[in-house]
Amino acid sequence: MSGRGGRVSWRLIVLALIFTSGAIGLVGRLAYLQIVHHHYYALEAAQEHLSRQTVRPTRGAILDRNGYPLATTLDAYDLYIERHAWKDMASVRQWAETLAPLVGKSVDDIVAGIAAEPDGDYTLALGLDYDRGQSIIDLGLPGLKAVPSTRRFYPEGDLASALLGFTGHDHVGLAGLEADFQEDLAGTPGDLYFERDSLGNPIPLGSQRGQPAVPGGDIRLTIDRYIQRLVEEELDRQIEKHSASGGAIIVMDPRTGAILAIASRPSFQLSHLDLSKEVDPSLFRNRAVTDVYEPGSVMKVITMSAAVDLGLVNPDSTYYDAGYVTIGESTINNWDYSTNGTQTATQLLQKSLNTGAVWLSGLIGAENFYSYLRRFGFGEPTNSGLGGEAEGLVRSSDEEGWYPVDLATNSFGQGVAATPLQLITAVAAIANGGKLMRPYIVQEVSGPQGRRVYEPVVVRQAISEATARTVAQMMNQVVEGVPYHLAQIPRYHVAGKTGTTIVSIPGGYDLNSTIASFVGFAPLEDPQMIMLVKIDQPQDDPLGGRVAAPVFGALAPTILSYLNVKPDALELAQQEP
Amino acid sequence: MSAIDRPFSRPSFRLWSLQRILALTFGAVALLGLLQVIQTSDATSTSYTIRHLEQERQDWSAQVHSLEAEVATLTSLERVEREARGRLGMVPAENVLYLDVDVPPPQQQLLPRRFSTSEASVNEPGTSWWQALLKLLPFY
Repeated sequence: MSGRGGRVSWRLIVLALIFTSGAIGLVGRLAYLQIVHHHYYALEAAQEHLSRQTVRPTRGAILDRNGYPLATTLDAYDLYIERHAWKDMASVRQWAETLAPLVGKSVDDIVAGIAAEPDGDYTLALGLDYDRGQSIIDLGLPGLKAVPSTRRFYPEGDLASALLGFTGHDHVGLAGLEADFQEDLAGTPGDLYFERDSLGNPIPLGSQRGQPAVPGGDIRLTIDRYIQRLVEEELDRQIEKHSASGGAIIVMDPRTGAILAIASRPSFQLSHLDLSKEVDPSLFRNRAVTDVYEPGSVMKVITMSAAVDLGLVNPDSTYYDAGYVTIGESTINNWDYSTNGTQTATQLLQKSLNTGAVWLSGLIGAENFYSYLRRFGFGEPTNSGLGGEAEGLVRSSDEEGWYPVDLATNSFGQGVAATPLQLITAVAAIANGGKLMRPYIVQEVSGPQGRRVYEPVVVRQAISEATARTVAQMMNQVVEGVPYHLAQIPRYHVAGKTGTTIVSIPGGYDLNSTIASFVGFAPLEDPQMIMLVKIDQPQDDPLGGRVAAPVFGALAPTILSYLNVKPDALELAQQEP
Repeated sequence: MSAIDRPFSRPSFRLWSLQRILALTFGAVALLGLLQVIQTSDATSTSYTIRHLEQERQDWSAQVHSLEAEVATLTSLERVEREARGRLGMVPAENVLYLDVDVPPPQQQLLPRRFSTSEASVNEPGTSWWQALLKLLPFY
């Protein structure tokens, strides 16, 4: 291999150099592809023979305050059929006959559906029971794709439909608590990578790897399913009885702000929900927090609280009721056009005199009055955690378009607007020694990330404790100082106030329809339950005292007894020795 | 006889003869191949078992969720009322009598702790030193 005389031939050197540089280039190129661009090509290769499937996490449950599930999740299957695997229509009909009873569809529907799907996948069933899905998989039909899925299940049926809301086909919360707490309930999807064949189907013994799904957390509400059921049944009964257009009932623990029940109508029913059909979206609203109304005479207790807190009046302070008051060019009458002469502050509330509220607002003054409204939480959302909460409408004296007559009308609950939740929260402050609590409906979220507990929150001291006690006593006289008041209940002392307001419509008021309401709490000495009842546009009787107060009278004894609240006038049963 | 007269020569024994080396190499390769086959077979078998157990776990999990739902349905208020009125013939109470009881109330039912943090912590399999070493490689 060497030239003559032992010298290496230059040709040989050139050849060696060519081969060496070629080898170096080849190695360099290999290193470039396999090391520098390893990730890219590894991914390309993986995509050639690996498929990715999202593993859906189990959605968390929604539980009532005692741990009973109101919404929970069941395992299920979504089943699809690959159209190209079902080309022969004779076989399609034969297979459809096998599948039809298992998926709850008719044979003709399946055949027509497959015929109408020239390419891609035909959706055979979504959210099919796990066992039934498994039995279909075991049939081993060609082209059948079974994707593990879940479906929502409501053990209590339609209870609290508007509150719970619902999820869409993609398992994302679309309304109610399902949407408000989507992040907590949903969990984290996982990934599954598996080797696939040329048709994209998993190779039975091929490799599989990925991240498992992390299940969503359970949320535990302050809602009590028993009270919620009582309230919903009574609300439906009253709406039917009075041919009303709707209504709302809220039950709350005034000491903490925990909402024990919240119902509103009109609403939807979970059992009849079909998202594939057109549905009026307004039915999905939880109207007790999203819709405002003029509270009417219930507002008089707020006006009275301000006046007492400022030391302007006491329960025995008097004024002269001439039956009307003139503010500028406007004349304000009592709701029943009565003239009562000299009246005490307590009688003002008992008879719900508009002239008395106007008298109080004059004493308080505009600046103080609106300041107290804010202190009671009017004009701002309660931050209860429920979505779509309205902040209400309060126009104070320094705003454009405000007139002195507004102060007068606002003092008896007209010209201001609040949600039922805002109103019950404000009155609950009177029951709770003047402390305004933040209403809340979720007390605990418990998931893989740990536990998150929601504690009661004092927003502010709206009025002094002494004022709260005084006004509560006056409210007690409203119920128990009036013979045959329909909110009276045996064994418990009740405090409350009725409200009747004309329905506001764009551009004015509908003088022919009212909203009848009542807010009451018990027992007087240690209030443990407060309830707001609101019936919209009752057709047979317009007054809160005759439409809403009896609802309180019917529900309160059962709820107090259920909550183990000791009666004020305790009559103990004789025990056998 | 000439053979008898020939001096005795010991047969030569070469420990590392080519034939022996080739035979040993062939045997080693065959053994390695066999080990590879056994290992692959074992891995496939284990993979199948894991897949089977995963499916079984999924079935049990679905069964647990289904039973939870069944319990919830059986304790639902609607069903309780139906049973109380229909089967037991109960009616709503009209007269309530109160007893002074000096024992504490029963403990409140606790929230299911399916996802409590203490139970959720699972012993993750450790990473061996050679796996850690492999992860240092840029192309691993």
